[in-house]
Amino acid sequence: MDFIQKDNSEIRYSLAQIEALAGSDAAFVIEIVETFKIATPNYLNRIKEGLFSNDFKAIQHAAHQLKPTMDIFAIVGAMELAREMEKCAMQPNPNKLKIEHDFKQIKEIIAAVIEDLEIRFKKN
Amino acid sequence: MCVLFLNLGKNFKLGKSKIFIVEDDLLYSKMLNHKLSMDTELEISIFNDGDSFLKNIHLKPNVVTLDIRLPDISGLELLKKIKKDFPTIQVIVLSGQDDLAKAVEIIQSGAYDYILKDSHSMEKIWHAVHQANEKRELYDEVELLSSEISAKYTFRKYIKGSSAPMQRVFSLLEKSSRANITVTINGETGTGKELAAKAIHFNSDRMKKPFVAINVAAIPKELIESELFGYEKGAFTGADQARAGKFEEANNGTVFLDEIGEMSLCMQSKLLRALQEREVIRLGSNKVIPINVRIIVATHRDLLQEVKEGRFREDLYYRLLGIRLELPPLKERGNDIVLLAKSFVTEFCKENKLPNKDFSQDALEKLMHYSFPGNVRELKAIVEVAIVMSDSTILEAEDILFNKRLDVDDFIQEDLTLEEYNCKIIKGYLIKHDNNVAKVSEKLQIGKSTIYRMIKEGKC
Repeated sequence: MDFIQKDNSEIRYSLAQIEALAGSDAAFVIEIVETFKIATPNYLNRIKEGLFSNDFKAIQHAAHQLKPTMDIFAIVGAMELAREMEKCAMQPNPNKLKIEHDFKQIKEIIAAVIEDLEIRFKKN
Repeated sequence: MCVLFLNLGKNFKLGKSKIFIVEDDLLYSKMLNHKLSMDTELEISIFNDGDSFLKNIHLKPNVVTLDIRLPDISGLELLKKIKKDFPTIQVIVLSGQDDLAKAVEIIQSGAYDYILKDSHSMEKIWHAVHQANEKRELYDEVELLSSEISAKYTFRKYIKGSSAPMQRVFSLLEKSSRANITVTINGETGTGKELAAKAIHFNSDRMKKPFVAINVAAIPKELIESELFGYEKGAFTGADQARAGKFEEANNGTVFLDEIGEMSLCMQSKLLRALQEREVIRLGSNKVIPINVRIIVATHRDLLQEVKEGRFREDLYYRLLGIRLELPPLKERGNDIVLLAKSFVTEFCKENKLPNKDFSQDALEKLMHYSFPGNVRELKAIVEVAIVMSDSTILEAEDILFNKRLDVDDFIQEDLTLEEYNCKIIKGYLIKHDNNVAKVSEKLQIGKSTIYRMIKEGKC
């Protein structure tokens, strides 16, 4: 498990699942990391746009898509936040404030993970 | 719209199993592709939406992994469409949500499996894909065998013959296949009655349903009812479990009753009832089981004559009448003997990986002048023995060995006295048993001294 110290909090993620699947194929790990860096901000943007236009269906769909990615990178806490946003967006009267709160948190976590991945793979 | 289209349309190698990943999550699809590509026998293609997948479904993948949430169509809707148009494609549905009700609905809609996308999902998908692929391959194998069977029984390909009597047979076979009518096949032993029945079935619209053949003469009279109609547990001593009869087994297909003329009158009335009412009742049961079977019967007897002599029920005779198909004896088929003999040679040599052989003119003439009491079956046996016995690629007349039959009519042709016949029999037995008098005495139940006396008197 990798640790990132961000302000006063600690963010944990892991590439163990990807590395196990990649075996000796280091290029595959890089490919997945690069895909993560492109795809995840795209999902976050769709949630942001959904919040802006009150399109909860779009939020629900994007949050749903985030879940497996959060699971693959084992980003502690992010999976729960994505699940909460999806669940909330499914409600007949969605709690927009709660979704905004969860979105802010997950966005920060993902940004920190991407930052760490950039440093890590730049070094290598 | 982003469509990742890997390896499709090229690099398709015979024997590789096509797997389609339908997944809009780019990262997940890459992970899954990497995992499944570890098996080099799998040919993976990825589609990011339902539309691009549907445009390529005609390529008939073995297995599809289908994300339940796609941007343009719901996974469930897509699943139903696949199963409706291509029922043999195995679909594994992947979902990010653990929803039991949804899972049940998906499985009921024909999915092979429902897998939750979690940290263990890659392994689960790997196993499910391989199992689903095996299932699909089994389907394909069954399909192939079915088409081979129907091809095998294509009239003119499998039933060989160009003689006039056989042309009439082909014409009737074709007519019989088109109509769902009872067919009565008459013919001497070895003329191919069961083959004709199979040809009718496998060229009819019942071809994908069972063909069940029953040789009435081969089943003891006491057992025939239970064989045909089945029985319940405890119906008779030894019936320790219920069993469906041949009619139930053949439901929606064809029942072929060979040697129908050998059926007892009592059983004939039960058969007539089953045919008229289109239902059977198992032995030991009161429950009526509806059946839908086509009946083809065969006999070497003249059924009308059997009716006149009171051995066959008139009402059953007329119930079975339908199309009458007379299979000619081989001796009446002229050049078909040569045609069949040559085809048996090719078939036997191919099956036994032998170099192909041919007949000399003398061998063919010998065959043409024989009466073939055992008909095509006998010809096949004679040809096979000739191939095995011959060391040459040409089968000569001396390689053609006819079966010696103990025919009473032939035997009494010579007008001998009883003693002379006795001598003839003893002589034949002595040859058969290497002049072992003790054995011949035991076999013929006569004293050894009698045999010695006849030998001494020069009679044997």
